[in-house]
Amino acid sequence: MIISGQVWRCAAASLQGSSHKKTAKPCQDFSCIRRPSDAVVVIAVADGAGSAAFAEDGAAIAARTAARTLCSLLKEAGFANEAAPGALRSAVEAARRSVETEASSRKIKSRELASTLLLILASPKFVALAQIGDGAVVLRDRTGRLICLTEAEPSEYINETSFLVSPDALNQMQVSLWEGEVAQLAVLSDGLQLLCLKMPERTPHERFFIPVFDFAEHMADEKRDRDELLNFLNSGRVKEHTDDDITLVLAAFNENRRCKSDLDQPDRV
Amino acid sequence: MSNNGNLEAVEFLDQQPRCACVLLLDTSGSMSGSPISALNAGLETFRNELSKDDLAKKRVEVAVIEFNSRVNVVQDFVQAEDFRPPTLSATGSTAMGAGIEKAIELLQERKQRYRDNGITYYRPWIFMITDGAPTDSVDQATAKLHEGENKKSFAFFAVGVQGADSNALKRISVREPKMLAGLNFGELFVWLSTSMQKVSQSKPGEQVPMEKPGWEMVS
Repeated sequence: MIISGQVWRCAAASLQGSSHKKTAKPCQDFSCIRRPSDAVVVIAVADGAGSAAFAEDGAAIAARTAARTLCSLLKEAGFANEAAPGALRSAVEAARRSVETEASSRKIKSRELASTLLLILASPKFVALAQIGDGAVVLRDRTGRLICLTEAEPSEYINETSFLVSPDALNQMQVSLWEGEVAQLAVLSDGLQLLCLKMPERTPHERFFIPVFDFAEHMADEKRDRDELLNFLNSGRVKEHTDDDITLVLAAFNENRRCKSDLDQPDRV
Repeated sequence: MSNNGNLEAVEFLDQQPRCACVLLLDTSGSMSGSPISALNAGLETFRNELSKDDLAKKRVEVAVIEFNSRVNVVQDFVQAEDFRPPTLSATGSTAMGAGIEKAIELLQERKQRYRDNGITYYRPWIFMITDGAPTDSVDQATAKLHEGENKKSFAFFAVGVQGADSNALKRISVREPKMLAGLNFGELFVWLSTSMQKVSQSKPGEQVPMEKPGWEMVS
């Protein structure tokens, strides 16, 4: 049942890593957010492959197609949790086809548009996700528990992951459904993982997530919140730990006045 | 007005991924004199270069193994920023087979230690420098090297100094061995440290670009 007045507040920021600044590569992370209904939010994050010539384009196509497709499928099928895993899979498949089509039309190998893809659907009663590659989703439920929803990848080395266009990607795709009452959630690209998930168990680091989720809980002004998030990611403190591109998307389910805009492309620095 | 200043309270974990590099060094009798001096100076260069990079100095771990008539682990793995290069001396024959096997064993132990402690890591390197030919059997070592490369357990590079038997090295190494021009260890170690920095910052899907070696002998 949708409780009137409750909405999802979101903020997203992507930042070019200092390693990419050195090599004059653009930020290759991309995220987008859609609200197909008042009680539901769709978030897609794609992280371009370092060696792909057009990684940032591939990431944008993957994330946008996945989010858009998921929203249309949900509008047809309804927003019940049982429909979610199937819709997520179909949306990821559609994203893959889009990237391949783009590669054909540019006459390049789809490898040159390679990215990971993390697609999330959140409602007040469940969170469903589909993932190819790395990146993490962490949530805080209404009792205050911190839960990491994404699993570790099978690869031995930290600089290996699978990509949306990899031959075996759809078989490797992880799809999961968590049922419960989510208060806030965070989606992060792999550049941030080692800063806030204790390995190897992937336990969310409280001293990172509690302040971050408290920030999310009090988000009320889209522009101000986005700027603050960008400043935080851009700070020396974050840069001490990583030189990778980083993306952080926050969503909080709050009672309040409606947010009108559909965030698509976050500000980039 | 900021959002309660919450983000200022955020703290981070420090979990740097590790990039292990074994320096496997021939200190047989033929290396004595200028070659071993130049090698020792090269090790200093290696340390200095790595120290200049804030992330690499924490992520790269260095071990040093020497082989002559015997094999000796001169330095077990240590973070690059704590690496104090040893001063090596040269004497005896060339137990290369045993040296290679020791390097592989040391890496396997290190990786197990990483796994036991939840530490993430990149594919490690074995970097061998020799000026001769093996005086022991290299059959087992060669088999282990090839198996390791196939499984992507590590990446092995061989560099031959003047007098090295490049045919023997070609049989042992999966990757084509490189021959050092003169005693250009300084440039060799600058190249190695740059390569290590690149590995330690590499992103998924990136082939680590092998810098064009400026130290290589032009035949």
